[in-house]
Amino acid sequence: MRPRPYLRAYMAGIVIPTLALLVIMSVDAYHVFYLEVPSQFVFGLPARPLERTILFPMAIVPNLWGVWNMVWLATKSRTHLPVAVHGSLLPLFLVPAGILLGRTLELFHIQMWYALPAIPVGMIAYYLAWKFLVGSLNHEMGIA
Amino acid sequence: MIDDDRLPQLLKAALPSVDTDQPRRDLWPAVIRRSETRVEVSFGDWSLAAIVIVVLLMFPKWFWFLAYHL
Repeated sequence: MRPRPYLRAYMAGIVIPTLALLVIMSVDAYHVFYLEVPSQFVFGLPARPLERTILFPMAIVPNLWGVWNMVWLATKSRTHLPVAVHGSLLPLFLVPAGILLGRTLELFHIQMWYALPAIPVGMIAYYLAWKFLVGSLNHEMGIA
Repeated sequence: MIDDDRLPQLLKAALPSVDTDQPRRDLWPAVIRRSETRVEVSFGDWSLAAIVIVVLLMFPKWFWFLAYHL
């Protein structure tokens, strides 16, 4: 048995959001620095620039993915949940936390009625991401 | 009380002897098979991906909302 399974679970969990953040920041930088058009005019972002709202995805989300993968490893013998189903539950915590943090730091104000319908879509996206991406990384790390 | 001479005999009697230095079958193909195993994409997975794409096309603003949490 390979040692430190929880460390490997954490490492496998943080890869995908870290890479996704890189892609998102590249798109934003392309619009800001090359097209010289703020992204909110292209994608209909809230009024605040992305640089301020990126704090949550950069600081919190990757760590939560890593911890959530550790939780799956610790509980899978009892819950028998597939990693995809376990990952799809994460938006139930992430979305309210993100909205709460955004309001607390006065980064933006998203109404809950606007966020609620998006949560199932996020859960589906997370289901697929955790099944095929995190699951593959767990397999590579020997903890699947 | 069991003395020191009796204990090894009891242990040997209780545990199966491992008198071979080779496994009963070649384990390497199983290792290779496991490492090459890939998760198959089912029809349901394609349907879920299609749902996400269609919803994001219908509500483009949700893309950044979801990206914010990714």
